[in-house]
This record gives sequence, C-alpha cells and structure tokens, in this order.
Amino acid sequence: MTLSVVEKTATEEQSIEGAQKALGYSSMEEFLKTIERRAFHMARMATGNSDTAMDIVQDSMYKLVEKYGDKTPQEWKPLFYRILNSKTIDYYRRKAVRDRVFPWSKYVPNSDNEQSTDIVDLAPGRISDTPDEMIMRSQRIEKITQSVNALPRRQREAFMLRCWEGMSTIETAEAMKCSQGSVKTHYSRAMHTLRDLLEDYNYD
Amino acid sequence: MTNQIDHQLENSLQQELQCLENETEARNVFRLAQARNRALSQAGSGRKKGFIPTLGASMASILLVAFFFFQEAPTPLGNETISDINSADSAFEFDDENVELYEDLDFYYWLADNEQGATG
Repeated sequence: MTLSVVEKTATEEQSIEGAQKALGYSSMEEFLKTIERRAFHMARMATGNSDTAMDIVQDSMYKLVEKYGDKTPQEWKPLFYRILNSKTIDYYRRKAVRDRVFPWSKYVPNSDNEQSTDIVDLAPGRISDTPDEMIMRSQRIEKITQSVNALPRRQREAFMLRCWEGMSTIETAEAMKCSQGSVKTHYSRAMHTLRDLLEDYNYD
Repeated sequence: MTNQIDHQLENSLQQELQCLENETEARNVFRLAQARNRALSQAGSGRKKGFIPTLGASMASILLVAFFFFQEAPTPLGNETISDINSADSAFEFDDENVELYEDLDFYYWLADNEQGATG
C-alpha cells in the first residue's frame, strides 16, 4: 500500500518534471527569460516606441510575479500575455486621453526614429550575416511590422499569439479572454489581411 | 492552395519574427534583464513594504489634525472678554463703595438721631 503511494508520487513528480521540460522552464525567472524579448517586440510593434514597450513589459512581469507567482508554470504564459494585452490597451486609452487634452503632444518625434550614436547600443544580440542580408532583413521586418500594425487590435493579438508565440487555440483563447471560435476567426482574418498586404513579399 | 500559401506565409513570418527577436539590441536586452530582476526582487515584498509607511504617514497626519483640532487655542481678546473684565472691575469698585458706606453707617445713624431730636 505504502509502496504504491510512493510509486504514485514518484510518477506524478516525473510527469511534472516532464511537463516542465516540455515547457522549457520551471522557475519564474526562466520563464521570464524565455519570454521577455518576444514580449518586448510585441509591445514595441503595438506601441511603436521602445521605452513604452519596455515599461509595459516590466509592468506585466511585475504583475505576473506578484499576483500569479503561485500558479503552475503551465498557466504563466496565457496569464502573462493577458496582462501584456491589458497593459497595451491601457496605454492606448491613456494616449487617446492625452492626445485629446494635449493635441500638440501627438507631434512629438518618436524616440525610436532617433539613431543612437553609441556603437554598443547598435550592436545586435548575435553575430550574424553580411550587411546586405541584414539590410534586406530589416526592410522585410519593417514591412511586416507595418502590416501587423495595420491589423485591428484583436486580429493582431491573435496573430502574435498564434503565429509568433506558437500558442494553441485554447491557450490563445485563454490569453485573449474569448472563445476558441473567436480566436480562429480573428486569426483567419489576420492571415487573410496579411496575405493581401504582403502580396509582394517573397515568402518562398 | 490558399491554405498552402497561408501556411508558407505563416512559417516565413514566424522565422522573420524570431530573427527579430534574436537580434534584439544589446541595450534593450540589458534593460529587459534589469526589468526582470527588478520584478522578481520587488514584487514579493514591494507592496507590503510600501503599505506600512503609507499607513504610518496617514495615521500620523490624522493624529496631527486631531491634536490641533482638540487643543485649547488661546481665545482672542473679544468684546465678551472685555465686558467680563469691566463687569468684574465695576463689581470690585462697587464693593469698595459698600465698605465705605458700612464704615460711615454709625455717622449716618448719629446724624439721623440728632435730626429726630431737633425736630422731636
């Protein structure tokens, strides 16, 4: 009897370890490490500003650790993206109010357009390709960013979570707080729009 | 056919976005690491630490307001006080007159008796 309980516990522990291996993280720190860059780029695409994106990601991390640190690692990802989306919506709301109250603030130049002069700041995260390839890629990224930004908010969220993050429909529905059917519709419409917008984009 | 194109587009976009992710600028990678560490270190105790000084400050301000509210302030020298002082003074003066009157009472009795004797 005791042996069977021990065996059962051992099996459960093994299954938890297996799930954690499949996830690629077991602690909150590892999770945040795996997700932070993507979250940052998603927020930057949505807001068009690095500093704002950084604030949004930091707030999301803070809230996840504070409120949902005791949840299982499987739940962290949908929760984190739900928080990230909420923070992004909050940003849009605040910006809308600010633009109404201070209309001239709309014309403040975007800090992302200003080129940094520090060579360390400009260094990429990895040593890679030739300059030509880098320029080509940056142009493609720019085109993709513009096209993704042209999507309605819900479609953009569905696209980012499904395509970029590789989340399942169930996880995406959880993160977007909507039904799986809605996720499928948003994602399908997003892909349709992107196909039209990126018509001349070579994706072979 | 459309599904195949969608699938190709999906794969291609996924690759591009992952490249973008991998090529995050060093400055932003550093800032993200800072943000992560800050979130991990502060989130556990941040609210509790902040709660106590906030509560303390609000309690102190309430006590301060209560102290000033209930403290006996020196009353200004108004009309009422002046009249009180005047009446006290006059009462004192009146008392002095009465004392003199009582002291001279024997003289008035003698005078009255003399007058009665003269008339009677």
